[in-house]
Amino acid sequence: MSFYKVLNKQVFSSGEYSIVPVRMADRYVIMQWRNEQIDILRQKEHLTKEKQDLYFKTVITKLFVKKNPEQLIFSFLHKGKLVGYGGLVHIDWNSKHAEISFLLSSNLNYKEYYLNSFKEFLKMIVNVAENASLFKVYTFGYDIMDYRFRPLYSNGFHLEAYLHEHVLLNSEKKAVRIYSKLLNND
Amino acid sequence: MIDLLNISHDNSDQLEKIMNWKSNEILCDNIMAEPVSLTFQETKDWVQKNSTDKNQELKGIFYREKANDPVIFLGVIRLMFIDDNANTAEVGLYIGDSSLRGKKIGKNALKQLIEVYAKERNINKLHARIRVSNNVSLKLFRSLNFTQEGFLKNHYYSKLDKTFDDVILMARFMS
Repeated sequence: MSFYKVLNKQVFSSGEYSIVPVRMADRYVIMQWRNEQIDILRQKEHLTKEKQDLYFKTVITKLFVKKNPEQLIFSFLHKGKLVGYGGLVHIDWNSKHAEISFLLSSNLNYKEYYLNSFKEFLKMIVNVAENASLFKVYTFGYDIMDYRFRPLYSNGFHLEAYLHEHVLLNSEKKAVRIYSKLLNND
Repeated sequence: MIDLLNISHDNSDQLEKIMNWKSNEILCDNIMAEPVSLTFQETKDWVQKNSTDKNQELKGIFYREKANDPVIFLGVIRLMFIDDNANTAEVGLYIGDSSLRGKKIGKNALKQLIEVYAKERNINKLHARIRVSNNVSLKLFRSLNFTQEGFLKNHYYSKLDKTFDDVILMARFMS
């Protein structure tokens, strides 16, 4: 297993769920999910195996050894099986905050599964941020399905910004919400 | 009089000013940027790269008292992260030369950016991130009808002030 030098713990668990530093073996499945869900991601073009290999080789593997990595990406497991991935991105080590990213397997991305799995993922990723001595985490969400924000509220996040007509989704302008949580690191 | 013009990557005076501004700790702290010490060549490359980036409009702010007076290069303004799908862009602005404060240079520059370049690029929404302690900028953006869309608590750590500051997200629609 790869491990992040910046963290003193690598595996985080909550109930039946766990996250582990992103595994090389998961890269093509992740690529497939990203391509299938490109509409809701800030990704402009479809990924190919070559591009994904290059990304893992030149970006991801270097994150493990950095003192201040820009991202901490994890494979997300349910009962030991890969069901998604996500992590902390755009880490600002000066201001000690990071954005949370999360993507579920395309065929598990339905309401009930999403609500429970995202809730557990948030608990674990907040622990990662605390382990990395960050002070704040936040996440962006397109204002499309209200239920998608519920796990944020139940995990102590609150709405910090509502950006009107900020993105174009399926030919329609949509708002973006930013939720954040201040952590207890001193 | 204020003109927004292209910054010349062959003009050593302009490049030197940018070099100094980019390493100025107070200026950088105000706009939440990390100060960097660039060489002359690196500054030249920076200007060239950003001037040709299709996702932004980078302009120098040039001032002269009267029509025949010499032109003074005193700041930088730009549209960044232009999103041609959603028709949005972030505004970045700083006045590096503070000797001419009080002449509404920032306001006139921002007004021109909106009326000329934002229109030209078909931008419908402009947005900006401003430190809550930066009263001058907040006042400037409010005076041109930017309103608050978000309040990011403890979102910027100032190495100079040794404290966390809140960040306000401002925006305005063109139509």
